[in-house]
Amino acid sequence: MELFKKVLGEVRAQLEEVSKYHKALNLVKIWQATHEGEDLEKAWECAHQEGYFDILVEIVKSLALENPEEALKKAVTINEKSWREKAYIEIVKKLSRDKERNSGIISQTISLIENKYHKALALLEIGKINEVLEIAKDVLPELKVELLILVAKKTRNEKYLIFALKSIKGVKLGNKDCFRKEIAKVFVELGNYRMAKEIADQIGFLDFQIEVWCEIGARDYESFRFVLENKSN
Amino acid sequence: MRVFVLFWKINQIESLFTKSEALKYFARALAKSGRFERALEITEIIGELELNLDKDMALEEISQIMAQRNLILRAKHIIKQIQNPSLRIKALVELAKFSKEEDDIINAYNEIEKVENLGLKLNLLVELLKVLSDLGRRP
Repeated sequence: MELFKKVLGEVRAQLEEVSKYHKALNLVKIWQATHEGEDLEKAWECAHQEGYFDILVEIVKSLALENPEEALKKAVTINEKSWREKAYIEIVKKLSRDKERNSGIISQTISLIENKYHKALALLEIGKINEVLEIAKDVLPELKVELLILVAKKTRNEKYLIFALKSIKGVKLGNKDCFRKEIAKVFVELGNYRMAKEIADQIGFLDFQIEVWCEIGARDYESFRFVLENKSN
Repeated sequence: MRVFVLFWKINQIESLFTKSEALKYFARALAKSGRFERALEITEIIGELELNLDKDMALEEISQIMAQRNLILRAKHIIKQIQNPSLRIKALVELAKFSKEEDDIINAYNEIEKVENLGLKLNLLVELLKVLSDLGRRP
């Protein structure tokens, strides 16, 4: 307890010495440690005044579990739509741990989300897979692939990865390799190394290909010692 | 043979920076899979490229993953190998979070006090404050 007071004193004393952004960020961390309302308001005011939206979202996220109503009240005042909706998603994410108890505020929060993709992300948090898939039919191809990958992760069902792969093939995408990498990594997570390897071979960008190989190699490396020895010879 | 293919591909990378990034990624992936000895072998390879800061970064990540899995003694052993002071202190704070030992918390605090860069010191103190709070050591 003594050390806590000592560290807190030092932190407070040094706050004015750093940039406004870091001051706001550290105020959030101070509040996360002290749980005092006054620290929360200071942090919120500072971030709100300067338009540090990432910090505002962080505050809403931290507040969501202990005081969901207050978190939502604060989220509504974020005056940049995309960040405001990110804050809503964070509230849903936190409250989804106890869906039954929080069903009212979860529905209220989701109803405030206008962007289809953001709404799908919130619905995914509460396991509304069919609704997410319905939205996926109606968004940009890139977002459709993203959503299918997320559904596959959530459900641990490979069929959505196959859908995602098909969606890449069917549509002209600027960043096919990045999506292939993401899909291959989920195949690794699901233990299907053969499929992951097949997709890795289709990736043109070497860095992405290596990322997938690293994930496969980390789990499946029977010849590791042999390779290391041969490398040094 | 998969790892062989991987090393062959990593060797194709011309940029030393990108090569090191790939090796760090591999070390992290190995540690996350619980293959700590293998992950440490990769940090040795990064060291052979004379990228000591990158080696330290990889060691710091490995020690964090060990601490998160409650492999406290092994994490301590790895932290001793980290040369860069800021990375070592960052690792000590993370260790204290999981070990919950008074000595580790005090040790992290004493090390933070030696930091001269004000911004870095503040960041580390704030992290330690969060650790103390999580351990219920606030008034």
